Amino acid sequence: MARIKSLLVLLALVAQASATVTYVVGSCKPTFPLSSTFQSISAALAATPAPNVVEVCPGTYPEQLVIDIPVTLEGISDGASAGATIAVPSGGLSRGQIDGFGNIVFAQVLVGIASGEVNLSNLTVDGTNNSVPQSDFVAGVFYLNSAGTMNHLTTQNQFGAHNGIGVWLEGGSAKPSVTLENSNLQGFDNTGIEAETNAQSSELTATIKGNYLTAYAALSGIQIGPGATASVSGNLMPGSFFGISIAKGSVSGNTIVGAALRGISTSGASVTLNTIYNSGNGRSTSAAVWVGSSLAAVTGNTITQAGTLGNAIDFDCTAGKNVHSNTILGAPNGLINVPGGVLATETYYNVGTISSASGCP
Amino acid sequence: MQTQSRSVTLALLVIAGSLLGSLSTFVTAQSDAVRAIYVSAATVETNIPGVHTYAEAPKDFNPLMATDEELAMVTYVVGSCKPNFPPSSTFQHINDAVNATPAPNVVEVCPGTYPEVVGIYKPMTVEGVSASNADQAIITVPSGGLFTDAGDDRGDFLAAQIVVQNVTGEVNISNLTIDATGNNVTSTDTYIVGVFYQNSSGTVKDLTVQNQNGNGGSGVAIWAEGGSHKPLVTVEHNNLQDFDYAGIYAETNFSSSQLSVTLEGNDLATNFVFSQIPSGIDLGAGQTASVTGNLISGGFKGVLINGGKGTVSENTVVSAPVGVDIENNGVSVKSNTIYNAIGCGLFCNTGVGIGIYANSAAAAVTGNTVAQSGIGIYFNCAAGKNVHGNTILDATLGLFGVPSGTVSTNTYYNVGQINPSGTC
Repeated sequence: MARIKSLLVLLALVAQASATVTYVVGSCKPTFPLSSTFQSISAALAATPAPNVVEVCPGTYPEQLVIDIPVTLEGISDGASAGATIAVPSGGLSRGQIDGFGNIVFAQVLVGIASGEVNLSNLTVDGTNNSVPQSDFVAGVFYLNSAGTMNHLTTQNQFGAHNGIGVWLEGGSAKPSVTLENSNLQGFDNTGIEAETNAQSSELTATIKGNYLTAYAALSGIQIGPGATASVSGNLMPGSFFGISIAKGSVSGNTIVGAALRGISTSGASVTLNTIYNSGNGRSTSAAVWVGSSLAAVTGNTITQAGTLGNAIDFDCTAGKNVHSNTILGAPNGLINVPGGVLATETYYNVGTISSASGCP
Repeated sequence: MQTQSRSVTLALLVIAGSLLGSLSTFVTAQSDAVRAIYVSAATVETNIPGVHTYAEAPKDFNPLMATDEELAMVTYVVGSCKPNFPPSSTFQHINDAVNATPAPNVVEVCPGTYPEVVGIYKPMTVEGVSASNADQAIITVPSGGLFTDAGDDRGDFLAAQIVVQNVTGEVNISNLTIDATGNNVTSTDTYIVGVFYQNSSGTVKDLTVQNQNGNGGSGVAIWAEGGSHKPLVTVEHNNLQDFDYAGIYAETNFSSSQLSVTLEGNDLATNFVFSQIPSGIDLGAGQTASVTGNLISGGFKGVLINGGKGTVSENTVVSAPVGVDIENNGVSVKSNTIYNAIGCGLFCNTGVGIGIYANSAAAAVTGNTVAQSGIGIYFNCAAGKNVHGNTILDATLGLFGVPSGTVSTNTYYNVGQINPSGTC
């Protein structure tokens, strides 16, 4: 008998553990139980039992969120609207988080050391009136040593004193994998997507695909810093000074329009099949692709209109035979800083000077 | 003379290797003074007027099977990058070469600057070539500016830098830069045009065409017009910059299609914005278009469909206040990406940017992604059920002006109002 009782208790616990706890935020599901309906996202995330899914009705939610449980947070449609916006609370953002390099980041949505995956979808995160001190960073979403997927997000108006970040990914001991896809990042004034860890070896795997980034007058579209490995593919990015900067991983099939200084900078990642258009206008030191590694494969890219004074591919006196089979259409200079002895085979159309080694020792 | 005998010997070796006993047939076919000789050896030049060799024979070339036209290739060089080329086949101006006798099959243009206007009236290939670490042959405006040198079939005046007119056969133009800076056209009745194909077929590729602007909104980079020849024109992988009316304009003043255009893989950008213009690609009446894989940035409208038939698919339009404007029934709009259609200010009666303006959509408008717009798809009380299956990400209004009773099923993310009622 005692054994049967134990079995029943165990079954009940398993059933409880496997049941999905869903909460609704807002008033778009009036038939949902009141006990599972909340008026703020923070309240739903803090409720007991902890939710697996939080569905957010259309509306504006002036909250600064901290998510430290595995959960799916998703905006839903009520038929008339599909717009759930996380806005800045009155008075601005108040809580900062220190990253691995000692920077203070005021995140509107902080995903902090969750034990499982945190997934965000169909939400707008608007940083208008964030009131973050000019010496610190403001971020729409900050994944700190946490795994998960972001899909169909909009982040916007992360303005500071050129310290605004759309989505910030930071690795750590959990070596998390984070995916950001099909999202629209606009109105940041520093970087659209920042991924980094303060470690020599990679402690973050980032998949960044199919996103849109508008980065006028910002520093970078996508920056993959030390301690991270990223697959960056199929993103569409007008604007910024640096389109994509990366050390480890791959950059493929992206379209970068109008990067003021460099379209793609690699110090080790492969760069293939990208379209870099209208980069470096008016800047003699610009490069559609800058290659600071002899190992990085840079092939099959199409570089069109590399500036009125600019350069298509900068070898930095370092890159070599792994840079080949790219197409360059319309550039004052095709290849620059090509080390002596390196023979790069590209296809050129309307290129003033095909290859130059003048900057190399 | 020694060079000549070497090349002929090499040619004969190739011929002998492939033809054996058919040699006499080939030699007979070589009777004209102007012939091309294909050899597999590299860098052999000849002194025979009008004759030069190729580094490698085209893979599909078989002298036995070749037509007289293939054997009778006339090649001219413009510029000074091929000093071993016979002087009689070398020209200093592109227009002199393309109009020389015998008419050329190929005109190779050396890197350099050519301030001239070019008229082409016979089938040929005109291509920029690379030499001495350079690959840029630039056609610029002659001193004094451009002048009216063509007219379209509606009576408009054109000051075109390259005119291709009423040619039977193909005219192919590649790897040139055509720059209209300093065109000095002030009349607002005259279009400033980089390349004008009129009632002529051919392929335009790997060009940079830029700065067709200056008289307040009449600059067109590439213009294709149909006619009695019902020409086929392909415009691919070109770089078109800073036009102020249209990057590519295709039309015929005719009710049925008199022109087929394939517009593929072009990159277009312009910094000009006037009221309702410029358009990246402007499709008028009397033509059938396949528009695919183009990247269009800036201007007022990415693609304007004013007439004709065909398909606009898999293009990317960035930062144009109106991504695609559909004003007639015959063209389907599928699987395009329209991004950042915002900020048209006073130029839109809506006051906000529009991803797709479907003022008419008898053809399908499906599978498009509109990201970041004021209005995702504007039906203007005209379009109907053929608009469906699109994805709208981040818009103030998803749909607008949907006729009552029309059901349009699309996917929405971060859209303030999906389909506000009472807008018709």
